Amino acid sequence: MRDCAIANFTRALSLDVGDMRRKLLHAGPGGKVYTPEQVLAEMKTDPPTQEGLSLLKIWCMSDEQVQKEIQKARSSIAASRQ
Amino acid sequence: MSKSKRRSRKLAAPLPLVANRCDYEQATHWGAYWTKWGVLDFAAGCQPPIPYVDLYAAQATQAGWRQAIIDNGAIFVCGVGHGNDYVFTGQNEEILLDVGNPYDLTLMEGRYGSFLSCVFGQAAEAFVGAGMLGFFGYTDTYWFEAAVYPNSLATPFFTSHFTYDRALLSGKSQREAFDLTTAAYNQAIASADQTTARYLISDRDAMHLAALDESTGPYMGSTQPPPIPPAPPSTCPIAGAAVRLLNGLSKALGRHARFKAVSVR
Repeated sequence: MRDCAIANFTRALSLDVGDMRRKLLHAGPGGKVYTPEQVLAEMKTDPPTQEGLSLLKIWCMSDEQVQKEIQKARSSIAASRQ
Repeated sequence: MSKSKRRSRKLAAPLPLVANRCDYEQATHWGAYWTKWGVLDFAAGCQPPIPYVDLYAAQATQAGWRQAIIDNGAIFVCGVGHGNDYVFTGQNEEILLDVGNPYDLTLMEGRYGSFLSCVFGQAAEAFVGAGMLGFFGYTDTYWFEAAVYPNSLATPFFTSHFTYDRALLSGKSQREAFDLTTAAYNQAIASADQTTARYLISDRDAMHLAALDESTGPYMGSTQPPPIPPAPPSTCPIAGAAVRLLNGLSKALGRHARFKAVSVR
């Protein structure tokens, strides 16, 4: 995970979501940013929230899948230019 | 009908829009900035200019929202706010729209909407089923990266999203606007690194449009886009690098804390 904050627009309606957000984005003293591995570890110990599931989906995508999506996006741009 | 009356009807200003620009923590602070760039500045430059009500910060209350929409006869509502599958919120998470509230369903009747919010896209069908003309939103968490306020890493996320609003303001249909927004996300994904691409893919795939008729839009045939649309603030790739460098330094110094350019609650 990049060393910057990630943010979103989920309304924290329950403690679960709030806790998860703190764990993922603002965890611990010094504002430590979680790595994908740490996020996944959190998922195993906590019931996944909607927000957590979304992150899980993002980080469970393999590098090859992401690369494929990038290629697909490039092809679609090329096709629209023709 | 007199000539002057006919002319005044022909030149009548487009119907107003109302924008929620709540601003009370990091995510909405970013969103408020980009909503001004993405919607308000653009609307002001359209030909003819599109009148708008800017509900900024403390003005983004439920009472202010309802009054602005009704008093001004808004045809388009938009903006940024935290949300979930049934509410879209304003300042300090005050509820602006609640799919379970019949008043809000009626309020949206005959209007178009675009909501930059997590998950509220899941309420689209209910609003359209109750008479809303069109609803664009996201059915999943909306993610963006942030480094140096307000631009840098956040730019591709917001410029992609606001393609939708700008297309509508330019007189496009909802379907055209949706397709242009998909293309904008694809453009951003095509030039993004692996990390940024992950979030952009997630946001693109969470886009959702529900409409009574996708071939309609709030400003079709009544407006032209600004001759020179306001450009987004230039991105600053060095910002991310600087943060990485600081983290490297932090590690080298044996400190546990990591530098972050911003903190998100």
